[in-house]
Amino acid sequence: MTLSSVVETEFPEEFIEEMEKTDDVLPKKIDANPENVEKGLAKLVLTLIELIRKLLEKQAMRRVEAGSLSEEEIENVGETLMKLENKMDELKGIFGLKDEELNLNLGPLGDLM
Amino acid sequence: MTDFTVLPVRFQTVIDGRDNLLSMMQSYYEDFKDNLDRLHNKLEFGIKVIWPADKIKEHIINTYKKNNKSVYITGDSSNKRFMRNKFEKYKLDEEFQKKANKFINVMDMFFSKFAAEKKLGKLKSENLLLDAVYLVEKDNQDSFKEAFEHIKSTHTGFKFLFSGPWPAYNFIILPKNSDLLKDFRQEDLFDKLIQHRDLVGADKI
Repeated sequence: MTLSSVVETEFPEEFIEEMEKTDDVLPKKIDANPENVEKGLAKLVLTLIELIRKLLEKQAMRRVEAGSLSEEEIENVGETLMKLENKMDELKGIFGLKDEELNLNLGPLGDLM
Repeated sequence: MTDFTVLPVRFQTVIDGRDNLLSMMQSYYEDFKDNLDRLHNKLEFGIKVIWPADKIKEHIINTYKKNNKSVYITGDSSNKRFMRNKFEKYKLDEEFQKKANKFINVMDMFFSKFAAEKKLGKLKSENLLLDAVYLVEKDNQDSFKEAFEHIKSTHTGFKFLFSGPWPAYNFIILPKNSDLLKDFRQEDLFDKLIQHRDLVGADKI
């Protein structure tokens, strides 16, 4: 018996494209030179803030679904979440970061978000 | 791979001569032996699946609109509209994940019948539904391929990639403190920094 390895697909370009999308967003090592250290740190801090913001948002949606928020509370939560999102957009703009850059690869655990 | 169990090594690994190779193998004898015992007679196969994410989302949105679930939030202030949009997105994501899990569970049920171990990557991107590796006994590889062909033929509109057999790249287990996990490139960089510490003004590294 001989074993020869194969890669079989009728759609190689599409798989290449998808795999490229899943490449690590952040480098495995921090390239800490004076030019990019500020942006690197901003990316890390904003990623963590974005994680917390998304968790808050999800919790709010769960409470809406469960019907445990009054009309007034929905109004207030909406205002808070909208302001948070706008502030994040502003900060991302200042540091030239895109949404897809705000992520961390946690190895075997997968991506943070 | 036909007659032996092959252990993969890091890409670009070069060992300088037979003596160094033997010495390295002696140093990590236990690590090699444990993995060879566990992976004996087994091979790795990769399966990737792209699903029609856009169509799935469209279907979810249509169903959602039909059921008019947005009644959870009434009112027309900007804050309420914001919340309504967020809630619809939240429900869409939730349904999207549910559908993905349903498809993955069916596929994995077929593949797992012939696999000793597996690692599943779910929705690594919106379109890449499944990026999985399976460890399969050599005797089961034909059955495993048949299971793949069956799944492929019963999921029209999905795109499949099958690869293998490979050495068990994804199933090597090393103790956390094994030197084999050390990143030698980092060591090289540190050595260079030490050599040139005067130049970078770090005399006390």
